Amino acid sequence: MDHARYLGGSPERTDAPAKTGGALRYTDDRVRPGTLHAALLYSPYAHARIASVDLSRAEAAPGVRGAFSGADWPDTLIGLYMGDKPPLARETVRYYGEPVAAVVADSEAETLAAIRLVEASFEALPPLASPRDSLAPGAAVLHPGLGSYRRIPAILPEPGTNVANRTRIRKGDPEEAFARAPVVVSGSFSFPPGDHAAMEPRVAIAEYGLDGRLTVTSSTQSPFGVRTLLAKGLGLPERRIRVIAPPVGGGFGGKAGIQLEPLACLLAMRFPGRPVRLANAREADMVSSPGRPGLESTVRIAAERDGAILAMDIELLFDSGAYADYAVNVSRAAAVACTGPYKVPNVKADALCVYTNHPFATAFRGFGHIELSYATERALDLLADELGMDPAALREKNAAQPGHTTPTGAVLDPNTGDLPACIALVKERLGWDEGRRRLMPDGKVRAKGLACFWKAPAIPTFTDAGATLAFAEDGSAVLTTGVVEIGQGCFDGLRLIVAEALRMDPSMVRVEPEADTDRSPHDWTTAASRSLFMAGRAALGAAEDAVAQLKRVASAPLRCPEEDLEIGDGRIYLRDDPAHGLPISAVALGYVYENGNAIGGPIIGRGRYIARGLSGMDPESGEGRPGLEWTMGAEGVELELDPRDGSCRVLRSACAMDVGKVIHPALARGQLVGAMAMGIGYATREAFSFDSRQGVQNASLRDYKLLRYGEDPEYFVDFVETPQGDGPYGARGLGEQGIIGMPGAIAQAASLAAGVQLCELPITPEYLWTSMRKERP
Amino acid sequence: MIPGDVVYLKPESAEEAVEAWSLANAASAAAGAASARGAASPRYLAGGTEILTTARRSAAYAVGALVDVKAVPEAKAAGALPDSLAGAAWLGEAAGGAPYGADGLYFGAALPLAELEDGPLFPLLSNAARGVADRTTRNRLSLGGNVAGQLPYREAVLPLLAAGALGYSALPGDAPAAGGAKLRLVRWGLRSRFDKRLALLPGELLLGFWVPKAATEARAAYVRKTRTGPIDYPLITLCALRTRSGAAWALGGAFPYPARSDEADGALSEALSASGDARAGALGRAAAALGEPRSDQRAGAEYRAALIALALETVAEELA
Amino acid sequence: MTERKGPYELRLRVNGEERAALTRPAETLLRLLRERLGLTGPKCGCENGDCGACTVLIDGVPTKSCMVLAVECEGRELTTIEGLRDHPVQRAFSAENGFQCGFCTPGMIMNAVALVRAHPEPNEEADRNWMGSNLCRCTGYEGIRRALAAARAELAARAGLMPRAKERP
Repeated sequence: MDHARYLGGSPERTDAPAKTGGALRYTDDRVRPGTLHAALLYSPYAHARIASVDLSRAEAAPGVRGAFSGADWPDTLIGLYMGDKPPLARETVRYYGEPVAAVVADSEAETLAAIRLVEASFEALPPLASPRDSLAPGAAVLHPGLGSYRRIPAILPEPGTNVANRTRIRKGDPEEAFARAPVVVSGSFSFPPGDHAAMEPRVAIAEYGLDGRLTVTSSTQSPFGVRTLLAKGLGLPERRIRVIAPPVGGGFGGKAGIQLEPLACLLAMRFPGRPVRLANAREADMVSSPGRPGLESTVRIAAERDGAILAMDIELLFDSGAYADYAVNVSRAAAVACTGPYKVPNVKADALCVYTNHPFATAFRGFGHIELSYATERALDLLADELGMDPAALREKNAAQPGHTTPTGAVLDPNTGDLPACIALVKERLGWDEGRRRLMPDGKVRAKGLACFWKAPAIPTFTDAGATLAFAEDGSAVLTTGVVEIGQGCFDGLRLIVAEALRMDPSMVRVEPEADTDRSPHDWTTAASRSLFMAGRAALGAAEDAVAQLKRVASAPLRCPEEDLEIGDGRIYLRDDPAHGLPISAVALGYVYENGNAIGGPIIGRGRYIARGLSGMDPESGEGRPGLEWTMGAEGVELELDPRDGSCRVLRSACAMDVGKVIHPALARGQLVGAMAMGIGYATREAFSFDSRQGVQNASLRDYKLLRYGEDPEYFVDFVETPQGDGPYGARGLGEQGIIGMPGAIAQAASLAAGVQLCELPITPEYLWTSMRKERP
Repeated sequence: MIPGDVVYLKPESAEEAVEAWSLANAASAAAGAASARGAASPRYLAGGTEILTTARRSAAYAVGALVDVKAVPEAKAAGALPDSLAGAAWLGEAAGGAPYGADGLYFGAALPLAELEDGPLFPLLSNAARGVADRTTRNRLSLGGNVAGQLPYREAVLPLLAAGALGYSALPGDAPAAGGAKLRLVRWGLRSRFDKRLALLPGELLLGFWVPKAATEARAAYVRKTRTGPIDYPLITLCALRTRSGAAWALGGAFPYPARSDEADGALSEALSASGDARAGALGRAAAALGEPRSDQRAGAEYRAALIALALETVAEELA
Repeated sequence: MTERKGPYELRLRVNGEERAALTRPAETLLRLLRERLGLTGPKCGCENGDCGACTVLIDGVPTKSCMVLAVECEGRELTTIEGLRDHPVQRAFSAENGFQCGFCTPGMIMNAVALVRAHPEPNEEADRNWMGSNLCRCTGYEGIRRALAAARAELAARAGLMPRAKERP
C-alpha cells in the first residue's frame, strides 16, 4: 500500500461551522407548526399497584386533544431483546418515574398544565432495592409473565424469579485450581445505577401519515433498530415505517435501542396527519428513560505466589431495574469478558441481569465492561496487596496475549493488541517507578493507580453496515451510510477513509450527515464502537467499487485497458503516463464525447460489511466466539487526597490504547479524553441516590453532579498501533474503551492514598473519610 | 416554563411595587374564591431563578402576578444608604443599636450576586455570593431572592447574619384607601427577624441590607465544603467575622436553614483567646450551640459534624 | 409602571435586529427564541439553570435564557449564537475540537465570548469560575480549554498587543 496521504491527519471537523455557529438542527430543533405536544405523568412510587387513573379533568382542559392511560394499549409490550415493557404502566408500576398517563394538547404549555390534572392513585408495595434483594427467597416476582415474553434466543430468563438473563462461563477446572492454589483472595464490590446524562434530552416526533406510513424523527443512535422494533411492537411492517435520525446531542448508549419512539408513535396513530412530539424534560430523561445498570459482585482469585493467576470465580449481579432493555445483553457481554484482559486458564462466572424496582438500565459506554473491570481490577488489587506485589507488575505478568484464550474459549488471534506496551506507556506518563504514594508538605497525600481493560463488541453475529458512494458534477464524492453522528465524529473518520481510498483531497469528500431508513443503506446501529470499523469497511468497499466503475468508463475515451488506469488527485490517468488522463468530473456522471455521444452514467459505488465468524454461546459453558475484535489498553491516574476531610481530586489521567491504526488523531484523542472524564465522574460522584422507598433523590443536573470545567485533570493519551487485519486500514473500535478502566484505577489510587481498600462507588469525600475512620478509629 | 398564565408588572418605585402587589393580591383573592385551585398570590420578582425552577417543577407552586422590582431604585442601590431610606421607621423594636457605629454600606436586594461577588465593598459577602450556584446564574440570582428563598442553603445571608446587618423593606400603608400613606418604609435587625428563615409580612418588599462599615472591614474567615466541586450545594458553609468582643459567625448547609446564635458566637469568641484543651472545648461548644447537623442524600450528620469541627479550627486560626 | 398580560406582542432587539412576536408573560426567553423567533441555537438541556446550553448575552452579560422571562428583556440588546459571525471564539472551538456532539456548544461559546471580553488575559481562576457554568458531557473540557487560549491569542493579536500566534490560511 502507498504511504498514507490523508490518514493520520487531523483536518477540522466538517460539522464544525454548523456546531459552533448554532446552526445544526437536532431533533427538537425541527418542530413544525401544528405539531401536537405530549406530556406524561410519572409514577411517584418505585413499586405500587395502580388503583385508579382518572383522565376526565385533563381531557376537559384547554387545548387538550386526548388523554391516555395503560388501558388504552392493553396488550402492547415493547422491548429490545425481550418485550417486557408496556408503553404506559398497566396494573402496577415497577419504578419511580414510570410513565402512567399521557396527555396530548396543542401547545406544550397546555399539555403541561393538563397533565397536572390527571388524578392517579396508587397502593404502595414494598420495593426491591438491589439484585440481592430480588434474588432472596420469597422476593416478589416483578414480572410474572417473564416466561411468555417475546425474546431473542441468546437471552435466558428464569421465569418465576427476577432473573431476566443468566450467562454462565465454565472454562477449565476452577474448582481444582482453587483447591491447589497457594493464594486465594476474595472481595465484594458494588455501586448503584446512574445516568448517561447526555446533554440533549431524548425526544421523538412521530407522524402517522394519511397514507398509512409512520414517520418518526428521533434522537436515536439506532434508526434501523427503531424501525424493526417498532414493526414488532406495533404490528406494522417495516415498509410502512420511516425513521429519521438527525445528529444526536450525545448518546453514550442511552439512545441506542428503543426509547420514546413507541409511545410517540402510539399517540401519533391516534391523530393521523398531525405530528406528535414527545420530549423528555431533564428530570424524566434521567429516571423515566433508562440509565446505566448498578452492580453487586463477588470475585475470588486463585494465584501462584509469583502472581500468576490460576483461576477466577466471578459473580456479577447487574441491577437492571424494572425492565430488561439492553441490560440483558450488558450482563452477557460482561460474562464474555469477565476476567479482564488477563490470561486466566480456569474460570467460573455467572453474570445475572436482575430485575429490581430501580429505574431501568440500558446500554452505557463500555457496555458491561466498566462493571466487570471494576470488580476484577479491585480483586487484582487485593491479590497484589496479599502478595506484596506492585499492582502494575501483577497486570504485566498476567497480560493477555495472542494465543491465549478468552473466557469463552475463543483464541486471541494475531490482531490482538499489545497490552504490555500500553501498561509501559501509562507507567511512563505517571512516573510510576518514582513511587506510587507521596505525603505532601501540606498534609495531603498523592497516590497513583493503574488498571487494564479490554472490550469486544457485544453484537449480533450478523451485525452489518452498508455504504454508497456517488459523485457530483464537480467530481466530489458523497458517502451515504446509516451511521448516526452522536458527537464521535465518525463521519470525519469515514471521510478520511474514502479520501485515502480515492486518493482525493478530503475537502472533495462529503459524508451525508443524517440517517434516514428510507434512504440510507442498512446499518445495525451506531453503538459498540462499531461505526468506524464496520461502516469504514463498507465505505472502503464502496470506494473500491466506484473506482472500478470509473476506470471502466474512462478506459474507453482513454483507449486503454482498465488495469492500466490509476486514480488520484481528482483524476483518472495512465499509471505509466500520468499526464494522459481525465478529471473524475468528466467521468463520474458519464463521459460525453466531442460529438455529443455519451457513455457510462452516474457512478454509484456500493459497499457492505457483515461481522465475520461470530457464533453464539453454549448456554452451560459460554463456549463460543461472540467477540469480533478486542481493543486493549491501560489507564492510570494520580490523585490527591486530603485525609482530614476526605476531599479528593484527580490531578492527572493517562490512557494508552492499542487502536490498530489511528485514522484521525485529534478525534481519537477526543474520544479517549472524553471517556476518561466520564470515568472520573463515574468513579467519584455519579450515581442515583435512593430514598428508603427507592425514589430517586437526585434526578436533576443540579443534584446529579457531572464533571465541570476546572475539575478536569491533565490528560495524557498514547496510541499503540498493532494493526487489526480486517479493520479499515488496520483500525479497530476506540470510542467507549477509555472509560472502562477509570473506576478501577481511581479506586486503586484512592485506596492507596487512604490506606484502606475501597469496595464501593462513587468514591466521595464522605466515603473516604468514613473508610479511613473505620480503619484507624 | 411556567405552564399557567401570569400577569407581569414592572413598577418604577417601591411605592408602585407595593401597590401593584396589593392590587394583584386583591384580584387574585377574588378570582381564587371562584376557583377550585385557590388563590395564587403575587410574587416579587428579581432574579427569578427560584421562581422559574419551582414553577416548572411543582404544581403546588402557583404563580399569579409577578411584580418585577428590578427598576425599584432602593432595590438596586449599592454603597451609600439611599436617601429615601434615611427616615425608615423601626419595625418592632430598634435593633439594640448598631454594633459597630452608624457608618455603613448598603446592598440592594435586587442586586445580582455576580455584582456582589465582583465588588470590593464587603469581602465576606463577595465570598459567600461566589458560593451560590454558578457564575452565569449569579448574573441573575439576586441577593434578596437568595436570602428570602425557599432553599435550605441561602448562603448570602450568612455574612449578613454574622455582621449583624439591618434590613430595609417596604410595607403596604395602613389605610391608603382613606387617603393615608400608601407605603411604610421600615428597617429592622436581621438577626431579630431571622429564625431559620426571614419572616416577611404579606406584601412586604425587601429592599436591601445595611452592614456596619466596621464589619465589612473586619477580619473574616470563610469555609465552604461540598460533596463534589465548587458548583454544588454546600455540605457546610461557614462565615465568620472578628468583632470587638470576639467573633460572630453563621453556618449554612449543615441544617435545613442558615443558623447562628449568641451562644455560638460567645463560644467561638472564647476560643480565639484560649489555647489547648480550653480552645478545643470552646470550639466544641460553638458547634454544639447550633445543634446536630442533618443527614441527607449529600452527607451524613457525622461527616457534616466533622467538617464543621475542621472549619471552626480553620476559622479560629484565621481570626485569632 | 409596565403591565403585560395575556397574549401580547413583545418587541425586542435580537442580534442587531428589531423582532416582534406574540407571546405570553409566563414564557421564558429560551422558549421565545426557539419557538417564536426560530433561533434554535440556544438549547434546552435542563430548563433548570443547571447546564448552560441555553446561554445568551443580555446587554453583553451571559445569561441562562431558561431562567429569564422574555418579558423582562424588553428594551434589552440580546445576542444569541446566531448573532455571532466568524467570531474568534467560534473559530477557536472549531480548530481546537472544543466540541463533540455540539449540543452544549452554543451556550459554551456565548459564555466564552463574554469571558474573554471581560478577561482578555489568560486567567485560570476566572475561567473556572465562568466556564463552570456550562456542562459538557463529551470533551472532558480539554478542547474547550485549548479553544479559550487560542481565542485569547487571536484577539490579542487582532488588538495588536502581540504577534499573531499562528497564522491561519
